[in-house]
Amino acid sequence: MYEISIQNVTKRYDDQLALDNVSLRIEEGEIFGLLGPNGAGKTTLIHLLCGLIGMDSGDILIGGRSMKKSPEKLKALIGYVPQEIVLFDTLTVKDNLEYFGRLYHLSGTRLKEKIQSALAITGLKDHHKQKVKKMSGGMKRRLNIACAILHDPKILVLDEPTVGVDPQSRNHILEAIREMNRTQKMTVLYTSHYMEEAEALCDRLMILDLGKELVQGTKTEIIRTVTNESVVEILTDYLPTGITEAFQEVPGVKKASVRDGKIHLIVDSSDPIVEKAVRLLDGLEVKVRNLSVDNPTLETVFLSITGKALRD
Amino acid sequence: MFDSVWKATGAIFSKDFKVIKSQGFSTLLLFLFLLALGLLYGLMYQNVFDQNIHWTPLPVFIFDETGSSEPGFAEDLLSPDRFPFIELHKAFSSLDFEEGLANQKNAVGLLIKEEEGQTKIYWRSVGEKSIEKNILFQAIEKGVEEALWHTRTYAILGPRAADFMTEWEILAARPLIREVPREDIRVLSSLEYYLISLFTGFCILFTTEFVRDREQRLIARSFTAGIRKSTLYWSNFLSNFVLVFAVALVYFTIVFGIFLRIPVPLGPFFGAVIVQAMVVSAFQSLLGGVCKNRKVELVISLLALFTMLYLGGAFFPVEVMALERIAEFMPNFQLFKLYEGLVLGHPGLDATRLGILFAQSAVMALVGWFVFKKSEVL
Repeated sequence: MYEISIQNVTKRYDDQLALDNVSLRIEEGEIFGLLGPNGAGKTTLIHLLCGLIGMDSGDILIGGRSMKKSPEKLKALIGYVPQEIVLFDTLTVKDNLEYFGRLYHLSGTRLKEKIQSALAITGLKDHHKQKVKKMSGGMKRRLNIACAILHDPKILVLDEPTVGVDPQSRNHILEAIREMNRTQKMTVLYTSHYMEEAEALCDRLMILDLGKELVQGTKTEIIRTVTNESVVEILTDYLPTGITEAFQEVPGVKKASVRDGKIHLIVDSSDPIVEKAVRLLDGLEVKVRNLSVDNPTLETVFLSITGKALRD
Repeated sequence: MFDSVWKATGAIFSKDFKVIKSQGFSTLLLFLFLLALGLLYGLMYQNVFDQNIHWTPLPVFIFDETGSSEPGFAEDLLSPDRFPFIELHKAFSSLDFEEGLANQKNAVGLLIKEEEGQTKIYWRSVGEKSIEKNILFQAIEKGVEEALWHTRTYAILGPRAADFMTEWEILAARPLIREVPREDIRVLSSLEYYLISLFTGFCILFTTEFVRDREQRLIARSFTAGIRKSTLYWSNFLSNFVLVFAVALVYFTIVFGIFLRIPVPLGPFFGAVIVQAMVVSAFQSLLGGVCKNRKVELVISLLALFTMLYLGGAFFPVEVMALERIAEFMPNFQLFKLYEGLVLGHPGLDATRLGILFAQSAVMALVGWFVFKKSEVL
């Protein structure tokens, strides 16, 4: 078992409190998202997990073993993808992979196999002879990941791996992460500035700000901490009289009104209202031309909790 | 521990070698630049130390108004043995003296007069300034100073002055006399000294990848592979050692085989090159531990390079600067002595020098290791 347990971790840089008593647990095979604006403490938490810096108090356990007691052994279980592109830019793709592979004690045929596998996962198979400095930003990002997965890590830590990447490479990166998580049961800790990425990729999330945990849970749980209401708008071929009253009677509808010729409903977001609404309109022989559900997003939750946008 | 150091050394050496190969042209240019500096210094050395100056004849007219019939002070001082460019003309009258000077385009006149109980020498120059006139003027100034010292000594001591002067001459001569074994007369010249010093300092500049890797966070990333600080540090040291050894071997083969054409015994030569590589890689490791970025590294390595060149005796002989004690602390001075032993045909390498160089290398490498903080690579 390679679950991660971060227990009451505190880290200071001189007078600045970077992490304040943060705790979280990531189950094996889970994709966990760490969200927060710049200076929230995400990278510090990752550096602690990767054993690059020491913590002032608390502990990090991987599979029940303390990072404080056996950091070198535990580090070998982790694949770390740094925020910056950290590669030897005068060397080729293969040379870079060989160097990092050898640091992970890979050699000979096994190293060659692992290089081929990492190239295949990141879609760089046709570029292994290319020099890094001549590659696009997206390809460099993919190589940045390839260098971290050579040794089949049980845990993959990605610190904003899609910054400045074109949509094609971004999709490739996200798909590669999903694939590794699915096929190798790899536990993934992921930080991003892109809320939609975190929403789409992560099973659970934590929002950090100024070194403190604000909230953690599944996407739905996090949204519910702020609001459990969604807005549904229905455009119909006509509006029969008493339609708002009829909707008011539907379980889960908190408020019904007509705005700009559309039926405007405020509903309980956990209730499957769409089906009920369509059935009601069908009974009244009203045809639905358009229907939209506006659920609260993590972006709005984030704004509500921290008072700032994620990219601040 | 040793297994992981060995494996990491292999990975780092292979990477460093590939990086150097990928920058082949600039590396070659740097190496050629190093050789070119040696050649340029050789050219300068030939012109400054082995001078072949064509002196311009300088007529010097002397008129001694005091009427002394004995050869005077100025005539003694200006003997043709000391100043081959001088054409000495003794005038017997003031008219002779003036006419002699008037007929020259470039000459010097020395008029010796007795005034207020003192003998005075008047300097008259005809024509442009020249190096010959300058040398002559300085010689006269120095001669006058010495004469004054003698005169005052006799005036103060009276009959005891003769004995004092004898004692003084013995004392004054003593520090200048050094009994040395005959073979040590064949020491290396400044040129050879420069070539050795230059390499010692210079290869610090062109084989350090550690600071660059540190600046680009590649060291931090390497740490996430579970590699220990000591493994990474000493693996870099060993990798640098191998690379510097290869470069030093090529460089000194060119220096001794082509530039200097001095035959040296192969075994001790290899030994000296190994020690050289050890000293340089220790210094590189020190830089790697101390410097967080390449700007700081450049400043410190240039400072070290020029300190070694100046105080280690590369530009001026150490003895001239009276800095032998300071030079003992310079690795290039110690290395120079090691190579000098080879040239002089000493059996093996000087154990004292080896001991000093090992100690210097150990101190540099250990200080670097101690100062190098894992947390500062982020």
